Amino acid sequence: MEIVPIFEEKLFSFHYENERDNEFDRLMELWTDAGFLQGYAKKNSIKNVYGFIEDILQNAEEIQDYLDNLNQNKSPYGFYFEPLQESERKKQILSFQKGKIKKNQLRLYAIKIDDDCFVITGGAIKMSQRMDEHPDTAKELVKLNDARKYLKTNGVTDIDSFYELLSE
Amino acid sequence: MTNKEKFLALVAKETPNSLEKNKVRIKNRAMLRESQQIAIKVLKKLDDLGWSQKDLAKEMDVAPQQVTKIVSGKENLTIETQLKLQNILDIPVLASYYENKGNESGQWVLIIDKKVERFATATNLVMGGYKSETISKKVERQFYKKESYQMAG
Repeated sequence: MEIVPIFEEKLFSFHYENERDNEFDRLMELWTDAGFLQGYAKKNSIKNVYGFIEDILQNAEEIQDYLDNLNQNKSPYGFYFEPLQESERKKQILSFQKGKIKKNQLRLYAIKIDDDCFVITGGAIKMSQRMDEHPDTAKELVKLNDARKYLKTNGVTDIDSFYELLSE
Repeated sequence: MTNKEKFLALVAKETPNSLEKNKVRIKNRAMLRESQQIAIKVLKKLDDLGWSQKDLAKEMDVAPQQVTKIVSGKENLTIETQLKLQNILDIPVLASYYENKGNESGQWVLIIDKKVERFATATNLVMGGYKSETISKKVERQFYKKESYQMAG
């Protein structure tokens, strides 16, 4: 696994082995693929398959616009991310985060390095209230834990040590 | 050189251009939306017909990977491909779909018109043109009546 910068020096993403793209690009490719979404809807027994496809395609556009606006206005990416759960709010470093837009079913998961520095670990279509109730989000929870472990193992305990890890 | 400076020098070479890709997606949105709508029409029709994407590839005489690209909704489809999809699946992709349908219904209107004309001629022959003559005289009278009111006013 490696970390790549995706939106200048503020938003990063993990790029896992055996994947062609980093997580942000990979997910954007999937969430804008009507054929993939049809298969996903059928696998998850969604009744209105084509309504679901239209919704997800629109949700993906919303994320594209939101992040582009933050970038253009030089706004912090913390406007998009929020703590994954209440217990994460108190953590100063390496807290789990979720990217969230109102009424949007798509989630990007990340680890917070500092107030305006996040590393995306993955993402999923929200299909259940709790993350461990659906295999996709359960897998994302494992990825979040693995990523935090990876960062800690490599001595990332503050923003400087994070950048040090990237330059190795 | 600080750790951060070292990092930035390194990342500049390795950047995957995600930001740029995101901007391109936004810039090409109108085209992508059209492509997505075609993909959805194709997927729906395949569902209705009970066809697989492989069946469609066979009908179109293309590789299955080409159909995967079409239904992804990201391809800038050529007119040739759009026409193939329209003709094979009988789905509206190009404006010609409605124009052809319009011509087809136009032909039906012509056939019906001719039938009505023939029926009217036959009826006229039987009735000796009585009814149509009466009606036209009534209309003629009403017209003159109205005109005279207007002139008087």
